[in-house]
Amino acid sequence: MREKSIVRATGLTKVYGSGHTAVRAVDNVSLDVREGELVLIMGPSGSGKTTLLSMLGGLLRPTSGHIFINGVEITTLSEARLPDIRAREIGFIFQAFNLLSSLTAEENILFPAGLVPGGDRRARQRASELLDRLALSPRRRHLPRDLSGGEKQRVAIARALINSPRLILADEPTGNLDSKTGHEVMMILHDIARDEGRTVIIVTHDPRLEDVADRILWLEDGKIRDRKEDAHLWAQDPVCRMKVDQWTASLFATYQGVRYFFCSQRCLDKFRREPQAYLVATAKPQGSEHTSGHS
Amino acid sequence: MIRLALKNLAQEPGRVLISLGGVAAALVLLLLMEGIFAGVSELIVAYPQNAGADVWVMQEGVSNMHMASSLVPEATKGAIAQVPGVAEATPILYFSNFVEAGEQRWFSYIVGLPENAPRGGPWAMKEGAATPRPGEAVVPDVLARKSGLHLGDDVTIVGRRLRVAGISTGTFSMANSITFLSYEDMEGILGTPGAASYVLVTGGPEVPASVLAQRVRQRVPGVNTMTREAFIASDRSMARQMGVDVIQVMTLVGFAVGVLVVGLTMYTATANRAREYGIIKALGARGHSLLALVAFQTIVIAGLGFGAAVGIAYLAGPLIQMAMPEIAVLYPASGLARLAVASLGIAFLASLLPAYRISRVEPAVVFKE
Ligand SMILES: Nc1ncnc2c1ncn2[C@@H]1O[C@H](COP(=O)(O)OP(=O)(O)O)[C@@H](O)[C@H]1O
Ligand SMILES: [Mg+2]
Repeated sequence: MREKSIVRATGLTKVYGSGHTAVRAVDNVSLDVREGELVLIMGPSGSGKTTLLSMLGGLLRPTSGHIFINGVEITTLSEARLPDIRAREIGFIFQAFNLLSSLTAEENILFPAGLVPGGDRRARQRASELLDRLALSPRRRHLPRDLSGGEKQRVAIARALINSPRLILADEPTGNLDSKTGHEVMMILHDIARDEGRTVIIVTHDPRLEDVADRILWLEDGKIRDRKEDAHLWAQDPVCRMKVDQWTASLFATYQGVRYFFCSQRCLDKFRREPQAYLVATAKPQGSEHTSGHS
Repeated sequence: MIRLALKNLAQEPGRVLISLGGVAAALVLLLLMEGIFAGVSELIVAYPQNAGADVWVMQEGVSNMHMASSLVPEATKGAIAQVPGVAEATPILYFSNFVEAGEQRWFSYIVGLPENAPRGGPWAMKEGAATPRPGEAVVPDVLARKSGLHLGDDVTIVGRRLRVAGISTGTFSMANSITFLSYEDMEGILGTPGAASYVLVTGGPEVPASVLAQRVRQRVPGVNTMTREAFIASDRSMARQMGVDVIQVMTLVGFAVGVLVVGLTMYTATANRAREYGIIKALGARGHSLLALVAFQTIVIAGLGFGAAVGIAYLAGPLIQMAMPEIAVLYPASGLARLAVASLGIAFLASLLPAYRISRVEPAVVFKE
C-alpha cells in the first residue's frame, strides 16, 4: 500500500512576471510522494518552497509541468473543478493559521465539511474526536481571537483533517509559534502521517524534524538539490558577523536587491533601523560561501 | 455558509446598522412618498365621497370632477328630474380656481350650491352657516386658520369679494380644498345662467344606482352618468396618475440611495475580509457559494431594512397627520409589495460590487503573513 503515489509532479516550473523582471521561483521540479510518507521541504527563504506547495495544492497554476493528486491530473482541470479536489483530497495548514474570525473553534473545524456534499453528518462526530485528540475540547466554543497560537494551529490541523484528505500540506506551520509549541505541532503532524497513513508534506526551517521525516527535499533557487547530511549554506550576519545557515535561517531581509540573513530578531531589528551602517563594514555584501558538497 | 454569513454580520453590528439604516431611510422615503400621495388622492375624492349623490350626471364625454369641467344645459337639468326612479336631483356649479385671502392664494374646488340644497354642501361644519347666501363663502377650517380668517372676513374669488359665512372641516388637502358659494354667485362668475356643472341624483330604495344611471343616460340626451362608486374611482385614479411620475422619480432616488449605501458598506466589509474569502476559496469553496454568501448577507440587511422601514413608516404616518393636517398618509398594500421587490432589487444590485471584489481574491493569499 505504501507504494501508492499521492502526489506526483513532473517538470514543474513557475515563473512570476515576465521579461526583465521575471522570477523563476520554481524551476523544473519533479517529485513523487507516496501514501503515508512524511516529507519535509527545506531551503533558504525565497527558494520557492511556498510557490511549490501552492502548486501542489492546486492554489497556483504552474507555468509548465504536470501535477497528479491521487492519480488525477490537476494541472489540466478547469478552474471550476479545482475547489472540489482541494476540499476532498487536501488539508492545508498555514503559518498564519488562517482561521475564520467570526466562527468558533468547532465551527472552523467543521467548515470544510460543509463544502463537500453529504459530509456534514459524520463531520460532527469526527470534529468531536479531533477536538478531543488535539486537546481542544474545552476551547471548542471560543473564537480564534481568544485562542493561543498553539491552539489556533491545532484548530487549523483539525480543520485540515475533517474531510479525511489523503494529503496534508503545511507551509511553515510552526513559523509563528514558540519553540516548544512548535515542537508539539510538529509531533501531531508526524503522528498524522504515522498513525493514519496520510501523506504529509511540510515546509519548515525546523532542523529537529530532519530525523523523523521519511525524506527531505532541499530547495535552492527553485531547484531541488541533494544535500549531504552535514552540508550547510553559510551566510554572515551583517550585524554581529556570526555565521548563519541559510538552510535553516528564518530571519532575513532584502536590502537593495540583496538578501541578508540574521542570527536573531535583535540583529534584524538593528539592521532594519540603519542598514547602511552595517553594509559599509561588510566586505562581501552577499555574505555567503558554500561549504557544502554540491556544485 | 449561511451560518458564516450570519456570524460575519453579527461580528460587525456597526456596519450592519449603518447599511440597514441606509436601506431603511431610503425605503421610508419611498413608503412615505407613496403613502402621502395615496392619502392626498383620498382627500382629492373627498367631495364625491361626501356629496351624497347615488348617481352623478354630467356633460357627455366627461367622467371626472378632478381636473375636469362639465356643463349641463338648463333644459337637460329639468329632464333629469323627470326620469322615473329619480327621487331628487340637485344641480351644482363647479370650477377650480384660487381663493385669495389677504396675501395668500389657495387652489380650491369652488362649488356653487342652490338655496336649501339637500346635498352637495359641506358635510361637517366648524362654525357658521353651511349654505352660503349670495355674497358669502364657506371655506375650509385649515385654510381659515392658515390665513387667519374668521367669520365675517373677506376672501376674493375671480375678482369677487365674498364674506366668510361658514367654516367647514374635512375639506382641505395639500392638493386641493373645497370652497362653497351660492349658485347665484357661481352663475355670475361662470356666465352660465340656468345651467349646471353636475347634477347629483338620488334614487328610491327600489332602484339600484347602476340601473338608475343607465336609465338617465338612455332617456336624457347629451349626458354621461356614473354611479357614486364609479365616479370616485375615476377621480381617484386620475389623482394618483398625477402623482405617478413624482413617485417614480422618488422611487428611483430612494432605490439608488439604498443600493449605494448597502453596496458600499458591503463592499468595504468584503474588502476588509478579503483574506478570509481567500481562505474560504483555498479550503475548496466554489465561486458561486461565495457569491451566495455575499448575496445572503445583503438580503438579510435589505430584509431587516425593509422591516424597519415599514415599522417606521407606520409610526410616522399618524405623527405627520397630527403635525400637518393637510397631509394624509395612506399605505396601499400594493405599495408594500412593490417595496419588498425594491428591497430585493437593492440586495441584488448591492451584491454586485462585493461579488466582483470576491471574484478577484486569490486563494494564494493564505500563504502570506
Ligand atoms: N506572487 C509573486 N509574484 C512575484 N514574485 C513572487 C511571488 N511569490 C513569490 N515570489 C518570488 O518567488 C521566489 C520564491 O518565493 P517563495 O515561494 O515564497 O519562497 P519561500 O517560500 O521558499 O520563501 C521569491 O524570489 C519571491 O520573491
Ligand atoms: Mg514561504
